[in-house]
Amino acid sequence: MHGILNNGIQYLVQLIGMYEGSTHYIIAWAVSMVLLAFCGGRKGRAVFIWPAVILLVTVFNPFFIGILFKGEEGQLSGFLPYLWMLPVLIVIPAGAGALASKLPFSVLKVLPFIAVIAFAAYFGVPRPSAYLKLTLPENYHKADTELLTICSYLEVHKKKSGYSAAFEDAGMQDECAEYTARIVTSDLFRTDRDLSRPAELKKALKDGKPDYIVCAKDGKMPDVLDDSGWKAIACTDHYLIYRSL
Amino acid sequence: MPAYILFALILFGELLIFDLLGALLPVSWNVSRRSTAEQVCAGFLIYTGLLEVLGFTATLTEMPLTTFCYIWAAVLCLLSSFSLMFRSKRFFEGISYGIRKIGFPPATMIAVFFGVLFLILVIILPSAADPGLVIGQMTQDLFHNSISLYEPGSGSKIVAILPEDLLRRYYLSDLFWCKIGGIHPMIMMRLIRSALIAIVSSMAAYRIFMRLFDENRALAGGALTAFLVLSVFFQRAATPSGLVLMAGWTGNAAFASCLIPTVLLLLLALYEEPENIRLHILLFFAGLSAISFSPQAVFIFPLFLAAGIIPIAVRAKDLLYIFRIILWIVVPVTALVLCLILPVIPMA
Repeated sequence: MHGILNNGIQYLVQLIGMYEGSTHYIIAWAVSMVLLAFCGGRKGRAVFIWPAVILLVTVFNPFFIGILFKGEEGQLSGFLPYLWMLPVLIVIPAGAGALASKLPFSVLKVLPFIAVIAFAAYFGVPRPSAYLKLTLPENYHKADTELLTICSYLEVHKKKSGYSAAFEDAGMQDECAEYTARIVTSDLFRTDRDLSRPAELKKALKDGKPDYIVCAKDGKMPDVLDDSGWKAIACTDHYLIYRSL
Repeated sequence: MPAYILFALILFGELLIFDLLGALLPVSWNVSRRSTAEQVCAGFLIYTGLLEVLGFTATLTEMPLTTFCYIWAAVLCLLSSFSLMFRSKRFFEGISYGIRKIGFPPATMIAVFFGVLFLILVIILPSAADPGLVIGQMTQDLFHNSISLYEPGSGSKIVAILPEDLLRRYYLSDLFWCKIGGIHPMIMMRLIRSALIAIVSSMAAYRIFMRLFDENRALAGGALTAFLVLSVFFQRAATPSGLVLMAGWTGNAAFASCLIPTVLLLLLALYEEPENIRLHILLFFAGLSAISFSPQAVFIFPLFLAAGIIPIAVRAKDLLYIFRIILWIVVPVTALVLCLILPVIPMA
């Protein structure tokens, strides 16, 4: 029983880390809950404190989690959406607001919010730097322009209706499926086989041969396709489009 | 640039419809306490709930997409007209009260609105392709003028569908707007829907803070600013803010960042007015919306509501509340049973 509880606590900490990237936020959440309990009034307690207590005792109970994920840590990620029930992002500013409401002067009332912003900037995931580069998307679709060029090329140069194309990059293939329904995507590369070996590629092609293959210029695939009798018909900055002969 | 004007028009059109639908069941009947943000949040629930009912029926009956769009347009026109006619007196009362007492919409809300629009429309780029293939499904549906009959990518006919996929109908609204505006699904979802979700999420958070701090606009504005800064810095793939910023078109983003805060807002309102029947109806619509957005919602939503309602029910000292909770969660629980009993649903 003690072991299950220990495991449960470990899993819970892992879960929070997996969810937020750091456990600092849970400390800020706990502090905000205390502030709401003392300064948030009845409404704050009824809507934020008691539901959280009920959830911590039931759904997020370390004992319950210890039993549920016994020896199978891989399952933990499936439990992540349950953390949406604890509205951390709303509770932290609400706690700051509750504290501010009890402070006497306007100047002092600003301090809790400044503290939250400073906390976010200091402990936050340093990802925003990637977003705040102020770069305009290349197109309205917010997709890679090269992908749109390839899709448009395939749509124009189709040799028959219902032709199929296989993309070496799985993400690119999914985006192609999002962009157009005219191109039937092939599952050629969605296999465990090592298709960089010509023999394996030939075997895979026997199962289902696409009309076009889109692969990276600088990978092994162009050599293999050249050897297997495919013809490069077009190229973009980073990709080659091959057609079966 | 003219394209951005069309996108903005669709976005405002959707928000206006939310507002009109929300006016049918206002969270607060008192004109002085009415708020556009609250109405939009309530309208969001009604809109998605009705869409789920119609979309589910349309999918099961293999209705052509065009027919579905005509019916949905008729439903929206009817309800919007009804809202305008039925509430016209209060509508104008509200406007005149707003002009006299409030003057302009709060500066914070305006800043948030344009800030979010700028982030979503201009800067933020999606992380990758949609793993749920919702956009791919939309592209197929538009191409074949059908609803969920062809698989994204392969284009082959779907012979069986998972119950959770059959219930996830929220994207039919975006298909409707794609059809009307002639917009590509990628643009609709990655630009317009993402912006819509971010705006509704901010509105719900703002109203939560306003209700919590007894309509103190300064405190609510400060809290909203802190909330937005936290949202930008506190984002991983599974957090609500991460979902909004990286994949705002997904159902999980709508569920985690819009539906859950809106339900919190309703619970706050319910704490103040436990007998307000409109709030109970809105929570029923929240249940319908939840299953429309996310497969996980069928587990999470009943638990979340049960935890939220217990303190309010204890305060109300009313056993009738237990029956009302059953009303709210009857749809998600039925959906859960359906998902557990039926592994797949064969399509004709």
